[in-house]
Amino acid sequence: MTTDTIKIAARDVQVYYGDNHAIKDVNVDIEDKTVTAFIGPSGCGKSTFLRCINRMNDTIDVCRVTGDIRIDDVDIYDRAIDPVQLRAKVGMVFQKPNPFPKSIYDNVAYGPRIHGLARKKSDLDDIVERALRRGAIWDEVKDRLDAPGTGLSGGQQQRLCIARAVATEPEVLLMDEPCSALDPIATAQVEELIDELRQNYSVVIVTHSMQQAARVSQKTAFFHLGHLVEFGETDKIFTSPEDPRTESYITGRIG
Amino acid sequence: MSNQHIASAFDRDLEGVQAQIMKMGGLVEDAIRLGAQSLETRDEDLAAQVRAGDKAIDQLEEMINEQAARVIALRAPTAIDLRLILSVIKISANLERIGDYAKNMAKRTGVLAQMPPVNDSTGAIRRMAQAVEGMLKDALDAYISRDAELALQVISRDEEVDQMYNALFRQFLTYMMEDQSNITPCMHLHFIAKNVERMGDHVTAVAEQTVYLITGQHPDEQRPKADKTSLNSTD
Repeated sequence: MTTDTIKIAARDVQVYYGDNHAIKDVNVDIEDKTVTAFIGPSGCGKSTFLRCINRMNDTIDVCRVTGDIRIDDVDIYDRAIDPVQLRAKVGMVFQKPNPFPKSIYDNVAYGPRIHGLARKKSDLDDIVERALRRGAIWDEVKDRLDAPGTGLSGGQQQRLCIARAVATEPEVLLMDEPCSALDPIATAQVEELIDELRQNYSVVIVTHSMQQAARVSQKTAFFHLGHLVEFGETDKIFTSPEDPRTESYITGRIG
Repeated sequence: MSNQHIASAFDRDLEGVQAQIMKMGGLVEDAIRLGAQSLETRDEDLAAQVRAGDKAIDQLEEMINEQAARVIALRAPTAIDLRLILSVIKISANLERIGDYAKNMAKRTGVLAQMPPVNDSTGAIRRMAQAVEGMLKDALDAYISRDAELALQVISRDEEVDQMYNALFRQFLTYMMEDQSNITPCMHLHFIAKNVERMGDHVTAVAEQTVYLITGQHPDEQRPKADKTSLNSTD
């Protein structure tokens, strides 16, 4: 593998919540145009590590991050980096769909407006349409863009949130259990969407569903007690993992 | 690693299907031994019993495959569990084929019993069958006790069976050249010997599945091939 396919490089990352050492010595290279799944039992640190990638942990006072995380070889914890700009580049989708209490159009237009991505109304219209198409929800909402985003079904709301996340043309998309509040059909739609997003983005998804990790990702990282235990090709992890702890976890045995 | 699943019904499913593999293996071992014995002692009743016994082996294969499909559908097995399910599907197919060869041996025993014996060939075939039966027993022991070492040892033993087959092949050629009336019985005996040699290959496949189950990797060494009769001529 050549280094130019590496999108995110983490070295010796430690995260502390006060005295609690939540992430221990994590080293990982996440590839571009690849879906990487983070799996592991609750409290293993997978979401914490995900939130390091767009500095969401900065918002927590007691949280301290050390080590080195680089996106395209730029240290994202450098003083010169503006976290707001970083989050435009590193989009995030959360567990529960959280549309703003605004129209569908304004939900998607929100980011591009803040970041001044459109000079004219027609430019903004184009951005909104393109994002909704990428979110695989355009056909369902194109005739009611003025309707409130909160009036959509759960699965539609989540795809709206994905459209909102991609509207600022991010390069990395972080997803924290994006399907846990969705029914199987909506889940399948979001998974199909994730596979399409892979053409353009580096996608990192935290999931409690091992089957989902197996279905959508090319690389899988298994976290346990704050350590990154194993990282590798998804099909290898799910057929013959190297570490007995990985094996225990994915086969549903007591670790 | 704990060996127990959190869902204990999953453990029961996996244990159940392995128990059926062992049961099937026991029936196949009997079929090999009794088939060869009926051939050597020209015991047509025993041969008939071996032929009839194949039905139970076939039924077990079907049951094992149904159970494996059920586990895949309901439990979505991964890693060691996935390899276990793949192994029972493949091993049951290997055992079923060995059972068919034993049945075929018993069929030919009926025909051969009507003809005069050709020297001690049936004794040599029985010894070859004994070697294969021993390999199968060890392969199944290796499987159930997760002993990769023993499985690899079984794989290496297939070469001896191939050599026994080579020797028989040459003997049969000689007998047939010596006396034309030997041709019919020797043709049957040769098919039996070839089938026993094939049994050895299926036992080897069982041992290879065992290695894959335990290590997650197929035994990579090219196993020794000693059956060179396909290159032989009568010169």
